[in-house]
Amino acid sequence: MTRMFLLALMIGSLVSIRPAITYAEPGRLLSLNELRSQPAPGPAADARRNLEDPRAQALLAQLGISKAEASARIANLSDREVERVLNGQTQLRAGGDILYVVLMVLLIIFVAQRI
Amino acid sequence: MRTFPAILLLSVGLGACSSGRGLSAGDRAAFAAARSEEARLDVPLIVQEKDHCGPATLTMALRRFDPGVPLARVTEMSFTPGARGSFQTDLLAAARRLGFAPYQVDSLAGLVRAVDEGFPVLVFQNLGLPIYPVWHYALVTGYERTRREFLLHTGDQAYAPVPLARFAKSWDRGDRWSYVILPYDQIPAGAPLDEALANAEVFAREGQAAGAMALYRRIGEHYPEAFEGPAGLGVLAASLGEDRIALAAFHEALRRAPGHPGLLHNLQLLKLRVF
Repeated sequence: MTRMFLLALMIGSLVSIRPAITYAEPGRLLSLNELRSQPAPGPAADARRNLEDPRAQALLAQLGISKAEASARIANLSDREVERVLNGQTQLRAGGDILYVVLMVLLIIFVAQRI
Repeated sequence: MRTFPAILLLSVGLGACSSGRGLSAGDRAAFAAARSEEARLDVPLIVQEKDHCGPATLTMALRRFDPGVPLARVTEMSFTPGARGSFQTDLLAAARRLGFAPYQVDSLAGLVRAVDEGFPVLVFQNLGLPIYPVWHYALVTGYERTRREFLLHTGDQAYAPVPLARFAKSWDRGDRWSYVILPYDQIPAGAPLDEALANAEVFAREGQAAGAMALYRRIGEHYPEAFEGPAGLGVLAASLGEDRIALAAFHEALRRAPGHPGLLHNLQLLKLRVF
């Protein structure tokens, strides 16, 4: 849990604020974001660049994920999804195993019997 | 004398289990309005290995549309050994890397509607206590309206009946996180335009141009008033040197958004390039 919090914090702290709209230079087609007057893409690309940080790489090693794999995972998120992680709307929680429910119930019973 | 503390402790635990927002009147009405008395989607069960509910559940969702999706590949893309599980964001990214588009389902009515459309729904639950969470992924594969149960592929069980109220509590504790995962050429009813565009943008950015083109075309059909579908197709096609496709797409976008200065700019530039 702490490692996840630190990972989110690390990515978040290094993300820069983007200008709302970038205007095309003459002779260049406008992107869809520009046509929609939307902010230029940012957080996902920035988060991917932050993987170069040695602290991020140390954390990834602990999690058992290579830099290339982490980069691919971040790159395939939309900017909104990255932003939701950064602002805490999506918490980094790993779905694991249903077995823990059984273990928890057994633990409660075990403790109860020891009282 | 031992019995009382034991009952007390278990009651505390069960009491904690029963916390959470649970069902609203709107949820109950949405479930009662399900299209059929019973729905069971044809989805082969993958029995999960320990800690691997994420990859197993995602693979089942993908195999609804492509039976050849390999579990091992999904696991590589979504499992995090150090966390002994799969992060929600990694499941979404894995789906896209395999050529599928995730769409959020943000209500119980949406869950029922998705099943009625034939789409299984990936859900995130807390099956433990609020103070001792047990995060778990499962796949909603059906419902039984009169019995007020959802049917889930979960753990090693297929079509496991889960009472609506119990499901809602575990789902609430997972912040009602849920997604349908669809091929390029399908968009669920009620999906926001921005979400479909975000999927297309990721595909285009990450080297899945054919998928992005197909999705922009589908967006154009699904949202017939919006200029964004054809405009996105035009921008992408032009970047790939498919100028004829781009020209037709920008004309269509301008038909939907007459006088749009950016579209006029793109069309003029493209005409200079083509003619």
